Amino acid sequence: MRPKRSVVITMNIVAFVVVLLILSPLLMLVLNSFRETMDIYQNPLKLPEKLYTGNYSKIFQDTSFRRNFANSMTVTLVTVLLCIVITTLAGYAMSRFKFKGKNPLILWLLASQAFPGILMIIGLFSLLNRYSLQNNPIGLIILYTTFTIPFCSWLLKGYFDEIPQALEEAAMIDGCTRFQAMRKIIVPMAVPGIVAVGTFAFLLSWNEFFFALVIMRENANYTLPVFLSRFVGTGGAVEWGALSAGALITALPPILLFLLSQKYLIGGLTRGAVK
Amino acid sequence: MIVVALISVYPFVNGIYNSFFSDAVFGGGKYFSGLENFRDLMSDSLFWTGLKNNFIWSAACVGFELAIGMLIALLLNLPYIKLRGLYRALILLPWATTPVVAALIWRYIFGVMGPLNSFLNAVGFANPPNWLVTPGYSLFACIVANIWIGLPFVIVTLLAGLQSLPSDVYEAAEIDGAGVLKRFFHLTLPLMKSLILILVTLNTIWTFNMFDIVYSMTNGGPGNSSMLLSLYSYQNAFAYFQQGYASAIGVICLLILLLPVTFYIREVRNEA
Repeated sequence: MRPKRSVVITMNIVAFVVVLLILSPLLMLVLNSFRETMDIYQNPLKLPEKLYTGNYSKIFQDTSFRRNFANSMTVTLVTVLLCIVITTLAGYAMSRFKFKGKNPLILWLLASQAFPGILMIIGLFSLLNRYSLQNNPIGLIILYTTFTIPFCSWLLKGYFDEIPQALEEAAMIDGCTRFQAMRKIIVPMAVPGIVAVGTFAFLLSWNEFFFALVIMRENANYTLPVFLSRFVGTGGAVEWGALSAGALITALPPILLFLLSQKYLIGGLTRGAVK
Repeated sequence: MIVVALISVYPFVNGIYNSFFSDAVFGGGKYFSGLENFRDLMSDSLFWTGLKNNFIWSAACVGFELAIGMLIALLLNLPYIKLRGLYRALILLPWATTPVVAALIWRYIFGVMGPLNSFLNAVGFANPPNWLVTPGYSLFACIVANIWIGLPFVIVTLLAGLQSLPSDVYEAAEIDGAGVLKRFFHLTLPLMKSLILILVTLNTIWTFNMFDIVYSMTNGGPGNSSMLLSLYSYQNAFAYFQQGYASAIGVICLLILLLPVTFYIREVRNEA
């Protein structure tokens, strides 16, 4: 039964409008980043008449913005790298070996997703203090890496489960060690999963706010989300122009990365729930 | 693996352990106080406000995300929608957006002279409320912002579920003369029951513990009217230095979440 032409057209229009509505806050952010703050305050609904780039030059001249951008990048990239290495090994181990306490471990990994962040941070705070990792990017890297590990190893375990054991057994008969077999045969086959895991780790550590807020006590050590929340202040007039430019620069890396790897990521995120 | 387990177990145990201690106000370290923190909580009206708000917040966010998400997923699942793949990618962008950035955008939208009020004025609503500084409205504004962030994940998960439904059953139902609504309530919903349950559970857990939005949009105000437990606990720990008290709030959150968490684990294990 083919739907009527009018229905098809209406539904297409509705879908377009819905998507546009969902994206409109982001579009507004882009537009505002090219307007002067006064203009943003006076004509919130108007389109900008000319392209004003002063906000960007302003935010880039801000030394703490530049430093915090570098902080975010460092913390995020190191976390992504650590996460990929650790969870590839962990996922492979969980998929291939039987070991004592495997089931409780997997359970714990899943359950730890649900813990209130505040309970974690109070416990972690004294721990980080003891090893002087508080107010230290390394502390943040350690935290983020541990946050990504449960979900990411679970996700990669799923990918490894689908690769037949026979493949690496064949390689091992041909003279590979297990590690070589894993590196040369299994890991290349799990690339979609590894891309998904890397993207997930990137999003998590780049966007994370709460722990960065608590742990980083000095301007110089902030990450971008903390920078933004400090920039907006607690009252008075907000300088929306420069803030929009800074916010857009903050939001752009995860959005771009996400668009590039969304094919893998969506598959990875939804597979657990759908299967 | 052991290291990972330690790093994730230790703070958790320590956090619970802390909740039985109180911090001396004028230095001097902490002392064991048993259940005192919890007793204090029971008579702390701000705690009850936070708890009430947390339930409103979670129910509203999760409920609307599911309802709106289902409508949009059904819409995008229609085979004759052009650019479906592109839409599906674009619709996820709010989810990838840094939550603090999202909160700031919405703070601007809901501002006194912001685009929302300008729009309301333009279509004839004189004197629209000052959303972020009016009790009641401020929590509502935060809920809208959080729905915007949470919706994409719901849509995409539901879409994936819809696409895995067996088409032959639908053809049979259509031949038997079942209408659109009937097919949705008698086929789609029952077939997707376990997916929806997992989705709602996970989403409840995430939403319940959410911190960034309220902190960046209203900081609990005005007059603590949009206070959430995560924020209240944070303030206790890092503004008033009452870590024991803050831990106690965290423990209460954990106890409340224990039900959905056990349910989630059981479901995931059954699926695996």
